[in-house]
Amino acid sequence: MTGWFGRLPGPTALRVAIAIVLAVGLAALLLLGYEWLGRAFLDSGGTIG
Amino acid sequence: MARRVGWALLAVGVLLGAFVGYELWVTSLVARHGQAGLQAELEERSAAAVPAVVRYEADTGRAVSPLSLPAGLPGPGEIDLAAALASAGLPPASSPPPGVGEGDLVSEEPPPEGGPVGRIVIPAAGVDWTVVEGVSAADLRRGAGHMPATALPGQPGNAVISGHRTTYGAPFHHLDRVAPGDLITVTTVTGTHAYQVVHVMVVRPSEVWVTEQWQGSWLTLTTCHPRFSARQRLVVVARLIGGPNAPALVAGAV
Repeated sequence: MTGWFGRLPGPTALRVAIAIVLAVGLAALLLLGYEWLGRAFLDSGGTIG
Repeated sequence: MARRVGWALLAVGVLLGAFVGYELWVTSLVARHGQAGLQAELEERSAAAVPAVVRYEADTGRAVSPLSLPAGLPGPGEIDLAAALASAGLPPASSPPPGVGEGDLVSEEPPPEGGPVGRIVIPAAGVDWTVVEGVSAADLRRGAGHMPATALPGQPGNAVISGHRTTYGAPFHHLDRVAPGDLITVTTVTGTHAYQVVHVMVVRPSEVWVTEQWQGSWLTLTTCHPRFSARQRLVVVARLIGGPNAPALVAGAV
């Protein structure tokens, strides 16, 4: 984990900012994926047509 | 190598666990929040609404429901509705307001998409939800949704309401427990409308005939089937038997 952090560019403050942005982006992507998977396979809302 | 495989499997397990947690609990929290907002909006809408009274003219251009009624099902006139609703723990069906004749209807303008339609209660399925107007993914995150372009509950035609079975609070999780003869109430700004379940069936998601507008007044509930699968639809069809518009509409629904 610290290896990835160490490879980020810039001073520590910038690295932290980049890491936060990356984490938020990944979490958003993950939630979008979960949302799609849920609607496609688990429960589409029960609509007809 | 084995260590890397172990970490990868662990990561997959965590992601799958998070998926289950998201679908079952996070989405329920979203729905609960949406319901709280909808209930408040429904109270405001009910307080401000001025239902209109219109003369009912049966739309004979509409098809008759293709579903035959199950044998032995008591007709609307054969049920002590007030007692049956009370024993089921349901609110009493509204009477026509003063000045509304037998051939008149109490009608309302449909709410805008995302607005509250009314409250549906089905004791047999543990349902007590505020219904939202619309069936988009965003609408159904807030509760069961009324399909636009279908009749409003208590009005002539077929009111179609869809809801999640397993996620977003799962308003129709136990819809399979409903059987012909069970009672449902939907309270809108025009009053409390009582329905009697006449059919429970499983269809393909593409079978749009269940949403068609028929003569009389019907309520059609749809949800995913089986549980944890979007492969089929469980459909419950009910007919209007009580409420402010029943005197005008019941004859056409039977």
